[in-house]
Amino acid sequence: MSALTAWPIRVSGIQGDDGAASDRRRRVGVGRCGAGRGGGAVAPILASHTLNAIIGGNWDPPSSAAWLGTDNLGRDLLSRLIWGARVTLFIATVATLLVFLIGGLTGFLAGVCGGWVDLVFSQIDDLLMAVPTLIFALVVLSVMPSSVVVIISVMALLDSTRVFRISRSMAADIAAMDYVEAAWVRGERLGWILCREVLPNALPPLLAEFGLRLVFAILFLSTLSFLGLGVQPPSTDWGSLLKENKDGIVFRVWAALIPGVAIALLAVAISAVADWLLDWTTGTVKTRANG
Amino acid sequence: MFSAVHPARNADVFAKKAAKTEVVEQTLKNVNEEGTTTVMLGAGVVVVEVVFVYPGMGQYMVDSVAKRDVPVVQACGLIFAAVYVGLNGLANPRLRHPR
Repeated sequence: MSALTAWPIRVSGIQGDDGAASDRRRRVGVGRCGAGRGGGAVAPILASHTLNAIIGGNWDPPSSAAWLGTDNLGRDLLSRLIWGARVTLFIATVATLLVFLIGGLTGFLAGVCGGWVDLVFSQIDDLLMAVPTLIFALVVLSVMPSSVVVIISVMALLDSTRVFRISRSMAADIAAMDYVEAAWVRGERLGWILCREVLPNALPPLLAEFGLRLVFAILFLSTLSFLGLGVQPPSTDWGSLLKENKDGIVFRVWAALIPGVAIALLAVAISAVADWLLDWTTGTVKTRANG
Repeated sequence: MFSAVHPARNADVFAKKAAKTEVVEQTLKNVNEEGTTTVMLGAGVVVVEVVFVYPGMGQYMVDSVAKRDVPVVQACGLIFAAVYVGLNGLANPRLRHPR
């Protein structure tokens, strides 16, 4: 377990801090994530305007009709943020789930099987990692349409290389344990070993990694959209909102900053939850239940 | 970088009154972490160039992707990847000292 408690990725806070700080992080983080996710899920109820309804002049200041003002074409910024949250969170979540499906499965296989399986998967992984992710995505998007399916697939493929390395090293550690040896001797199959021996032992760090990967997915999608190659109009996400309103910063318009602040707050909130999850699953936090 | 050239970390090198090249080499060994960060920035330049409307290769690549100018994108991708791999080779101790 020492390998697990010494897990190096810490997004915020200090190793071994007291339960109160961690608990506070959890509550704040869960609250913010909940606001973001809930807001996205019930967008039709929450948003006071439809996505592309023009309600005023461009870059109007906040008013009772448009709480955060209007964007560059006179559309309600708050409503667009709420609608955009849907797209951002959907793509990022699906991509991250795929990342862990691909990266986790191949990583566990490589770690447990070793030999030529390990060699082949690791070499392919090195090959994919040799190109910067953003450049790779740009090259792919230059020949394929910027559809949701393509974006999700590219993000999943590129990010799974990182998860592959982590899950491979953890699986290799776990595969050397006596209980795995015992399972092999009992005559268990590979699938059973992966699901019943490796997965439960590798789960806590992978859960924390999930939060981190989700943050990276959101940032990556926002980057693509900011460059104009991600989500295409009339649909929108937070990166596109940032791109549409960025010129307003010259005219001291708040709309230029708000989408960026939203992305940053969501990233920090998810990091806080992942951090608390890591503390909780590895038992470094005293919860109220066990004193 | 500053911490990497700090005398305390390179005491043995300075003590030997080593040649300048050796100091540089020793410093570069310590600069691994910073080197890796530089490698990450190599791709970040694309975003920075778009934000500040700086007419560099990153901006050219993004424009070409939007225009579907595939040969340009391929060439830019090749150059960025080559720089990335090259910097990685300098920064990554595993590649510099193979088993």
